[in-house]
Parts: sequence; structure tokens; C-alpha cells
Amino acid sequence: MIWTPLTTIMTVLGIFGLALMLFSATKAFSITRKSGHASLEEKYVLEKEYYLLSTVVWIILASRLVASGLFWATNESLIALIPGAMCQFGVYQAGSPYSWIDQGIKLMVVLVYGIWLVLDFINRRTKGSPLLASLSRLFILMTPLLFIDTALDLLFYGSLEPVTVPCCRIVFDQTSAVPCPYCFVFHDAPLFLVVVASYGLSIAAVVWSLAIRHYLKIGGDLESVGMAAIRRLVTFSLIFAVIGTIALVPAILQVIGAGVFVH
Amino acid sequence: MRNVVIAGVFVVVALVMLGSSGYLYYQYYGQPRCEACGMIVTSEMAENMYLIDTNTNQRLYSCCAGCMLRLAAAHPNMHLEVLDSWYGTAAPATVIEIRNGSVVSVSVDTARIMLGSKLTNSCVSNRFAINATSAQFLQTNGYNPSNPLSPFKTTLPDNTPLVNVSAALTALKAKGISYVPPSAAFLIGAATAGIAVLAIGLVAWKKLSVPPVRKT
Repeated sequence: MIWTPLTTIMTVLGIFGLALMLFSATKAFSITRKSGHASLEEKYVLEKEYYLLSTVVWIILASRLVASGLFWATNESLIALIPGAMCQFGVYQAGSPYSWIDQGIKLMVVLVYGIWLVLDFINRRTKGSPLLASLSRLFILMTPLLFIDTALDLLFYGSLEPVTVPCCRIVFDQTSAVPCPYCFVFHDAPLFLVVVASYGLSIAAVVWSLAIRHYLKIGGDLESVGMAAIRRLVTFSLIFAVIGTIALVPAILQVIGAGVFVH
Repeated sequence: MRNVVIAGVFVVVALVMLGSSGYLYYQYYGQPRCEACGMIVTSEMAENMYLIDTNTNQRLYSCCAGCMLRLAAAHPNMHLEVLDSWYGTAAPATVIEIRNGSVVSVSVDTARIMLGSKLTNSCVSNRFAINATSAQFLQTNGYNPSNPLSPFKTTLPDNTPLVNVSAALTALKAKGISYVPPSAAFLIGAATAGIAVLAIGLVAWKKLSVPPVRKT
């Protein structure tokens, strides 16, 4: 393990996430089991239990989303501490195989966790919590991903040692069709960071809107609350798509003027 | 109030994205990089090797003795002053003159380049030794803890190849600069993906803003 302030934060977030996840998964399982045949009075009790669960899950998912952002910042900060690494590719090699799987998971967590968060957001604003059982089930379905995401952070940073690694140019040489993605996005043309993040959020907002739309058929208050949320999300999606496109133009121009790159 | 919070979150996300990009841009262009492989050149590395393109009088940067010679692919006329990796400033710098891509003089005949990168594929395994004693110390210990300019504090692979400067130059010059700018096809692909995301955003905004039609 290489102890730096950022790897310490990642480890703490990992342990914190695992502990809270164990608590909430059992709670969600109990709500799902009881909600099918609950009387009106029991439903009220379940609803109260669900609010506790929902608050804990918000904390877990928010901490995981923070960890997803910090993941890239932490890996960027570790480059100088891994001999031979000149970009994040070297850090991933030092932490292989956990690093590669963790990275893949990190690319989709915002999308998946976001679905639960937006559905819970509209559920809280709707009378009678119509999505209570669905959200509990969805959380149970998400638990394996949450567990893998958290456990991989602990395994990756726990197993990371300052071993000598080959440079990314060994893989991405002159014959490669694409440049090293880490050098390209994080160093050569960092405006692509804005492009990738904006487009990612734009697509995520569309997916979250589709998830809400799926539940609109329940009707009642949910339809009006859900439609208001969808309108906001698709507007954000469009704004992020426009920001991404605005950033894409100078990013491409920056690459075309590659004479300024020093390597 | 809720709208203000949502707008606030949006502004924070946008600022974080633009801020990170700006910071990385500053970091990249604020620090010299090895022209041959792209590694960040630390102050220790820069002090170990003083490289000048004699055609332009421009200071060049490389991370290791291997990349230093690879630069000959792009700069055929160079003046190099290199410190021994074991002794550091305790020994005089070796002066190497390269003209038209060939070594014309090396101030210390016994100078050798230790090309550990041939075995590990990593620049951190390369060293510069002014004599057999230094090479032996480096092979055994990897680096000298008493030399404050040791750029790579790592061990060397067993039987690290020991090559004289002229012989090393021929092979390393052939390897050349490994950075290749992204191809036009790659950039067209990025632009196409951008147009697709914008189109998805537009279609979603137009179609999803309308309540779904219920089947009767």
C-alpha cells in the first residue's frame, strides 16, 4: 500500500461504504419481503423504515460518487510515486488486475447509482411513496455492484506497491490506431476531460429520464412529479451536450496544433 | 429555492470540470516532459543531463540516458553534458557531441550506457556510468542513496546491458521519438461521437418532455 492523503481517503471511503452497505442491504431485503402483503398500518411502519434506509443509501451512493471522482485524481497523483509510470496507465499496471476492473466499474457507477437517486428523489416528492418496494428491490439488485465497487477500491489501493512498470508507449506505439487514452485526456489535450465528462453526464441524464418514464404508468401524483423531473433532466442533458460540443471544438484544434506538444 | 440549489449544483459541476481541465493543462505545460517518451522531467533528471540542440540553441529535456540518445532522431546535432548516475556531481560531467546523427566525441572513453530498459521496457532501468566501477556499483545497488541527483531510486535488472555511447546511439536513434499525434480518423471519430450525443440530447429534450401517451 502506498499511503498518501488521497489513498487514505479512498480506503476510508471504501471501509465506510462496505459497513453501511451491509446495514442497508439487510434493511432493504426486509422491506421488500414485507411490502407485498402489508396492511395499511404495517405500510406506514415500512414507510418510516424506508426513509431511514433511503437516507443511509443517499449517504452511501453520494460517498461512492465522490470516490469515483477521487479515483481519477488519486491515480493521477500516484504517477510520480510509481517508477516508470508516466501516466495513469503505469499506475493501473502496478495495481493490476484490480485496477483495470475498478476502472471499468467506475465508468458506469454514476449512471447506475444515479438511476436509484433520481427515482428516490421523485418518490420522496410523491404522496404515499409509490416506489417504496421498487426502490428497495432496486437497491438489492445494485448491492453486488456496490460491493464490487467498494471492495475493488480496497483491493487496488491495498495491493499497490511502487514496483517498476513499463511506459504506456510500449502498448500505444507508432502502429497503434489510438493514442494512450490517459496521456491523451489527462495530459496532451485536457480539454477532452470536459468533453468526456459533459457527454457522459448528458447521456446519464437521458438514461435517468427513461428510468423515471418507465415508472410513470403507476399514475397519480407520480406522473406530474416525474414529468417535472424528466423535463429538468432532459434540459440538463441538452445543456451538458452543448457544453461538451463547445469544448470539443478547441480540444480538436488543440490536437491539430500538436506542434506545441513537447513529446 | 429548489431551482437555486439545482442551478448551484450545475454551476459547481461545470466549475469542477473546467477547473480540472485548466489545472491539468497548466501542469502539463508548466513542467518539462521527455521529448522521446513523454515522462515528466523532474529537477533531478534535468540536472543530470544538460542537452542542447546546436542548430537552434534550444535546451532539450529527456528522462534517462536512453531517451537522451533517442532525441538524435529529431535533433541530429546535439551537445550533451551527462552526470554519472552513481557519483553525480562528485565526478566531472561527460561531454558528448553528436553531429549529423553520429557521435563525434565522448570526453570519457570508458563511459557506458546501462540499458536496463531492454529488459524491463522502462526508462527507470537506464543509467549512465563513467567507468566499470560505477557500472558495477549501479548493477549491485541500483542507485546511490548518497547522490541527491539520483533520478530513479530503483534496482536494475540482472545482467543489465552495458553499451558504449556510439553503439547505443545507432539503436536508440532508430527507435526514435515514440509520440505520434492522434490520427485524423481518431479526431473525426471524436467529432462524430460529439454530434451523436448532441443529437441524442436534442431528441430526448423534444420527445421525453411530453407525457407518454396511454393506451386505451
